[in-house]
Amino acid sequence: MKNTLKVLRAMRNWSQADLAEHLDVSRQAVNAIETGKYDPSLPLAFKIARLFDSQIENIFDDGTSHD
Amino acid sequence: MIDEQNPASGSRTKARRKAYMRWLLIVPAIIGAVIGTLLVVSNERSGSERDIIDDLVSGAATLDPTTGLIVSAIIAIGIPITFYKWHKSIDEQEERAVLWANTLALYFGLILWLAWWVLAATKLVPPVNLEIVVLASAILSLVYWAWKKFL
Repeated sequence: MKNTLKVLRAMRNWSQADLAEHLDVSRQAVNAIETGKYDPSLPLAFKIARLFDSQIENIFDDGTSHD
Repeated sequence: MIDEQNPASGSRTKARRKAYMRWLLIVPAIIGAVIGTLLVVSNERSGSERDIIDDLVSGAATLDPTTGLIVSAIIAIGIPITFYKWHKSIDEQEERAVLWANTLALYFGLILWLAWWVLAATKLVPPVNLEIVVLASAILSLVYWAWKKFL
């Protein structure tokens, strides 16, 4: 699933390790999410959205367009 | 769970995970050392001059019942506790990698064993060697886990 996590992280000048620490996951998990190799669980997606003061659908794109 | 309002909680959970990981490295080493010592002592008591590890691998080893009970109890209790602690310490991405790695290994082991067993019945190949089946499954699981976790 595509996402804007890398952009959001860069805007805060955080490294993957910094973000991982904030989310309580490993750096590998952040990298896997950013590269679209792993889709986070709903609780983790909510945590990410809250951390960046945004909404899940603004960060993650499942490829379906909205009319 | 991390508190986003409190950045220090992230450091605490990271420290906790590191402590778990350290524990998970130390405990299996201690268990291995205890088991190894028990096996060597048991072997020396029996007066055998053969190497206990060689005998264990070849299946020729004989342990006294007390040592066998102690070692099997350490394995039966120590390994589940270690795995439980490890599963509690990893994040969801690694948990997913572990689940798929173990599922793949289970399927692979069952299929390999069944195919080998059928072929062995035809005398085309030697009888099934369960150690090889288990080892191959474990290696496959490890490789898949590392691929999903790190690549």
